[in-house]
Amino acid sequence: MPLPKYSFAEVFLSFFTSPGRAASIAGDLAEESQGRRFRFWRQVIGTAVSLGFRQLGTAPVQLLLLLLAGNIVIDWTPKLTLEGVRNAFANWSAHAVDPQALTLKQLLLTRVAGSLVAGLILAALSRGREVMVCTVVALSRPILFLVTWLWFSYPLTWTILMLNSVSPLLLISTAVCVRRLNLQDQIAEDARRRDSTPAS
Amino acid sequence: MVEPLPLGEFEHLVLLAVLRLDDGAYGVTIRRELAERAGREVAPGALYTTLDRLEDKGLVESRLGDPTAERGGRAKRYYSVTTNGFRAIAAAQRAVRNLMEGLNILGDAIA
Repeated sequence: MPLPKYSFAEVFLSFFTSPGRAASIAGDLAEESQGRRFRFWRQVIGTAVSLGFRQLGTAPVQLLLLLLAGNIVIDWTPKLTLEGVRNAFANWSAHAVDPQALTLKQLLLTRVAGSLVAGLILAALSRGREVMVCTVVALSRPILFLVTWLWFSYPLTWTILMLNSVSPLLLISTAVCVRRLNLQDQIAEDARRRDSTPAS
Repeated sequence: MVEPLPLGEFEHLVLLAVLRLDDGAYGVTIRRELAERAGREVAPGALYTTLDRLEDKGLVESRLGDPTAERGGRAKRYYSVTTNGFRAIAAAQRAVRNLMEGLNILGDAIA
């Protein structure tokens, strides 16, 4: 009996591994679940988490970059007017809880976890288009700042200018590095495919 | 000769399962083999990350099969043990055999 195609699962898994591997993993999970959707999706999520952690373990530079990008995203969300986005990150961010009630270690942990989740989401959403997406995100803050400054005659100082230009530069550099790492993965995958031969 | 890479316990089991399954080793059958023969119910994520790691180490290689309707039109990825994989298994087996020597754990001592 033909099973559902589960195309979304394949796309979701491809955030954590190469598209070719994501397709065969989704096929394996579909075959095993035999149409039981809950079991299928539970296994897809579990597999994605494992693959994600493996990627991070084998690419510490990428992990650092994701943390950096995520930290910047968390930093910015309260400043943007998108309350929904801010609330989405709220559970993971130290901004959302009372800092007085937290120890320094807890504050650091929530911050790192929040940064990692935000960074993973950013990388996943922008896979293959990291530079473009991160540039748009990066430019949103200075643009918002300029609009606010022009509209409300906000006092302009060098410190404010510095703060508003350093973070976007960091985020764009992060995007360039993540892009390079993804390209390397793609090249390795293409080489593997060239070497492999179809089997029945 | 290059020293074979040391294997983790789970890597060792996965390599043996791939070896046993011969041409039919892909995600589903490997998991089934591990459950039936080693009594290990393995999460799919753990298996795929281990297979990826073994492939990175050059101990297994993979190739794509034909897409089938029962898998939603997706191809199976078949795994096979490489020459380095064989060497790594042999080295691990030798180490276990040497350590087992003189012990009577399985009922009859290994000479």
